[in-house]
Parts: sequence; structure tokens; C-alpha cells
Amino acid sequence: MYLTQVNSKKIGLAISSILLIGCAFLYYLSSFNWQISSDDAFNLSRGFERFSVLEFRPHFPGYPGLIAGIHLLALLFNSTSSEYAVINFSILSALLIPIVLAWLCYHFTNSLFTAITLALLAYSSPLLAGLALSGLSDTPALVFLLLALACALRQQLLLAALAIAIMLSIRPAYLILALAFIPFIFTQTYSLRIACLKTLLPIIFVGAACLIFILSKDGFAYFSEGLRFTQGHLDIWGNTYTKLDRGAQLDIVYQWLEQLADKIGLFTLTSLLAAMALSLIDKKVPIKIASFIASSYFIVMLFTQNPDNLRHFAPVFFLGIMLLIVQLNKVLSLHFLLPLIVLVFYMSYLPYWHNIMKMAPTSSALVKQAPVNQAIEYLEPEQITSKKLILGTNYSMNLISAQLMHFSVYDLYYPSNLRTLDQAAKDHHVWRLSGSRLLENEHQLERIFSARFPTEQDLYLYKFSNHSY
Amino acid sequence: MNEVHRVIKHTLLNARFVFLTGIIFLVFSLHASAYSYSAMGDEPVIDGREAMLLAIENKDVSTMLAALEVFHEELDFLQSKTMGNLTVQFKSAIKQKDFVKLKSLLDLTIYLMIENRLNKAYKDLDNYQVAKVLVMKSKLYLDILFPALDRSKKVDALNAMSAILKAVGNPGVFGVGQKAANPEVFKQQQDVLFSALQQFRL
Repeated sequence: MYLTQVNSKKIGLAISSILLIGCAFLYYLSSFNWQISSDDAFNLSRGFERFSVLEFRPHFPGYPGLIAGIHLLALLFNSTSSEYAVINFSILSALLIPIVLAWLCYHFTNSLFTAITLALLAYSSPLLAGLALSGLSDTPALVFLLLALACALRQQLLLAALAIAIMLSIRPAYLILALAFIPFIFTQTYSLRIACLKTLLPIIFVGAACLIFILSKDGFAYFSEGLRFTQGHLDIWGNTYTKLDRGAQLDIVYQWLEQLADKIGLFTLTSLLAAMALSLIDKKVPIKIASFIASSYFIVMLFTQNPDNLRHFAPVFFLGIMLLIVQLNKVLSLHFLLPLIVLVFYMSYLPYWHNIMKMAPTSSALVKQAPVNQAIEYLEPEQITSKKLILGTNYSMNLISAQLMHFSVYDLYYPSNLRTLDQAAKDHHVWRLSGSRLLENEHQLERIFSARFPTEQDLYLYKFSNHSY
Repeated sequence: MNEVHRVIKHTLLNARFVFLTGIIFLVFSLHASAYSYSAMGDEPVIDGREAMLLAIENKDVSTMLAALEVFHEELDFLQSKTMGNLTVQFKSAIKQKDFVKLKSLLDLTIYLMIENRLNKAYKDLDNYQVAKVLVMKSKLYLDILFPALDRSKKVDALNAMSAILKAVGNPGVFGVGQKAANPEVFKQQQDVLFSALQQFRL
């Protein structure tokens, strides 16, 4: 009885500590502007207003679970602004990620101190802050992934499958994570048939509900849009017409490793991967499976996801730091653990702050807005005179076009539009917003809009000179 | 006995890891994904227009004629519905190297595609699938003309397109969420849209 009371006290103290860190995280986020900053988030906010995948409200596959969650939260907070509703849901989910991670960690290590340290590490990661403010499906999907893991560890297969089903309805791209859960079915105490039934039932139920919802809005035309979107997804990389061959796929892997080394840091990346590899041969089956989930997703991500979007790395990062802590907890006593973890934590920050420092002149003050919103705010005051205002971009095209209505915004997905900009520069004011530094000498770099988090990328605004064409 | 059982279970589990990893690799490493909402799918007019614009930039007449071939079937179809022989007009502009006229003809073709698809959608309003896809395809074509419009016309065109999409209605499932199409609003907003795009009619 006495021991139980002490335990309850300790657990209560741990929960309070984590909640306190969560409040500090929220306070930190409040120093930024909560705005939609990508076409995907823009589509989601339109989907909140009226759902139709055919109208890109939101884009394929429709994210019905996410839209439902956003509506639910908006109802609770009586919020009608679609922009806030989308971001609020993403932030609330981000707040929950370290809490569920800590719960998982406690399950693995039975140490409250380690669990709190993990929560601190997760909350202080720039990746989490970036995901929170992105207004996308990553954070809620991650919460349900971690919940599924927690339920599976407690042999609650039905609940785990329900969490997986909800995760897929929020972010279908996490299918690989769902598939990697299959080994859990074999570790259950039920017979295989019952275990399969318990797994499939919630997935079929939630899947059917989502499909009925989508069909009620779009009908069977949804499938033709799916085909078109998937075709574009598979054939076209970014803004080129080039089809990918094997060599290009290896290029993507190389780009990913370069991005991760740059934004996460080589030391942290190696630590995470080493922890995942060690966990794969761990004696405890649940740790092994958790690592299997992270590892298989990581390998698939290297080949199939866009290296420009660091957010795709989030499941590996959060499962990875949990496994890192779990493995460290085995070999080091608690007194040694904290300084080591703090060191890892700062190592993960170093490359990020280094990048920010390079981005003079805006680095002196806290950058409150995402790069694309900075660009919109910078260009907004431009007035049409006898000359037109023209902007070419391959980044957040729809968002920019909707917010800068007095500009002619050209989608640089079409190569001919770049020629149009060149031609127009003779008589009009022409800019180009790019996600990478351009080599051409003839365009004058007017401004750099710095990324706030590693999930964002710096944007470069070029002004076309009017004499060289 | 328990120990033996555990060993067998772990061995099986490891074998399953390898098997599953293999399957997952096979399924997912076959292709790479990317984002582009602009990807139109199979749209010869867009592909031909793009090729033509690049050929105009290089002043390459033979490529222009080749580009014309990409969408000549669509041009034949459009001219049967509207005015004059578009292919002849294109060929004559190419021959005279009148690139300004050529660009205007390309814009006209996009405009006619919007008009044609919306007219067809209007006739097929009782068939939700057909109508909705046609309207959305016309919206993707509208996006191409959009930057050339001034602010007020952009607002008119966007509002009209939004109203047209709403006017198509919802199919619903087993009667739930069903919303009938509204031909009157569709027609009325179609006229607003066409008048906002008037500058592209030659």
C-alpha cells in the first residue's frame, strides 16, 4: 500500500513535469505566427470549409480522419476560421506526441526519470515545433501511431488496430507503418484467427466509414481523380517532366542522407540509426518490433518520399529517440544519462542554428512567419502602375496565388512559364521565388526568407532585370 | 517446453521480419513519388501548348508543326463546335511566323476547352460523375489562363467557378448527403465566367 502511494506520487509528479514542459513548448510556439504556409495545408483548410477531393478540398486521398478531427476540435473551441482550425489541430497533436512517447518509454524502461527526459527531448526538438505549425497530417497521425504501439504492447489488439485505422484515415501515406505492425499479431496470446479478426474489424469499419463519407461527397469520380493524382505522383518529380529511373532513385537516397546530415546532424542521425539497429537485435520482442516499424519506414522513406520535406522523417525521429533512450538506459546509470542526452539534444540543434545564422540579414530578430508567408508579406505592398506585377514560383503556388491577387502568379511547373517571365521582364516588374539558390547571374537576389524550423526551407526571391532579354 | 516454444516463436518472428521486409521493398521500391497538383494527366492540348510555347521561344517552325500534331484532334473537335478552322489558323500563323497571333490562338484554344467542357457538363448535369469531372477539368484549364487576368476578373472567375462546382450538387450514398444539381445557377455562373474570360476570345 505504502509503495503504491509512493509510486502514484512519483507518477503524478512525472505527469505534472511533462505537462509543464508541454506548457513551455506551447509558450514557445506562441511566439510565432500561426498561419497556413503550404499548398497542402491550404487545401486542408479549404477541405474544412467544404469537402471535395475532386476540387482539391483537400487533395487526394482526402484525409477524411484529419478533416473529421479538425471539425471536432473546431466544435469544441467554437472556431470558425479554417486557418486556425487546421493549425490548432496540428498543434494539439504535437503537444500529445511527447506525452505518449513518455508513456511508451516508461513501459519499456520502468523509469519515470527516463520518460521525463524523453519528453523533454521530444518537446525541445525543432522538428516537433515545425510539424506543429505546419498544419498538416503528420502530428495527429504520429499520435495515433504511438497510441497503437502503446496498445499493442499492452496486448490490446482491438484498440491498437483502431488506432492504426484512425492513423490511416488521417495520413494514408503511413501505410508502411501500419504494415510493419503485422508482426505484433503473432506476439498476441490469442489464437491467430481471433488476432486477425480483431485487427481487421476496426480497419474495415473505419475504412468503410471514410469511403462512404468520400463517396457521398464525390461519388465514384473520386477514383478517377485518384488515378490522375497517383499518376502525377509517380511520374513527376517536383517540377520537372523527367521520369525517374534507378539512378535517379539512388540520387534521392543520397539527397535524403545529405538533408538529414544537414538538418538533423550527422551525430544525431548516427545515434538514432545505431539505436534502431541495436533494438532490432534486442531480446525484448516489443522493442524489436518498435525498431522494425521505424527501420522499415526509414528504408521505404529513403526511396519513395520527397527529400525536400523533412517532415517525412518524423516517425523515424520520434521512435528513434525513444529507442535511443531505452538503449542508453540499459548501459548507463541515470547519473550519466542526462548529460549525454543533453549533449545529443544540442548536437541535433547545432546544424539548425548554424543554418539560421547564415541567413543574414533576417537572423538578428526572431523570424515569426514561415518563409512563404514572409514572401507574401514582402510582396503584398507592391502596387500596379503602368507595369504589371508578375511572380513565378514552384513553391506553394496556390497559396501565393490566392493571397497575392494583384500579381500574375505563374506556375513554374510548366517550363514555358519561365520563358514568359523572361519576356515580361522587358516591360513589367518580374520576380521569381525559388526554393533553391539559382545559378543564373542575370537575376538579382532581392531577398532571402529564412526557414524557422528544419521542416521548412529557405526561399530566395529574385528580381528579373529589364535589360538583358 | 516453454523455452522451446519461445525459441520457435522468436525464430518464426525473425523469419517473418525478413519476409515482410522483402515484400515491403518489392512493393514500394518500384517507384518514387512526387507532388504536383498541376499534373494534368493525359491532356494533349496542355502538352501540345507547352511544346508549342517552347518551340516559339526557339523560333523552331518544324517543332511548332510537330506540337500542332499533338492536339490536332482536339482542334478539329473544337472547330466543329465553334468558328472557323483552327488548325488552318495555327498553320498560317506558324507559316507567317506571327508568334503573337500563335500565342493568342493557344489562349483561345484553352478558352474553348473550358467553354466546351462546361457546356457538356451542363448537358450532363443529371450524371454527377461526368459533370463534376468535366467541371474540374475545365477548372484546371482555367488555372492556365488565370495569371493573365486582372484582379477583378480573377475574383469574378473564381467565384463563378466555385458557384458552378456547388451547382453540380452531391451524389450522396443511399440518399444521405445527396444534393440535386442546380441548372439555373450553373448556367448563370457559366455566363459570368465566360464574360470574365472574354479577353481570350479572338
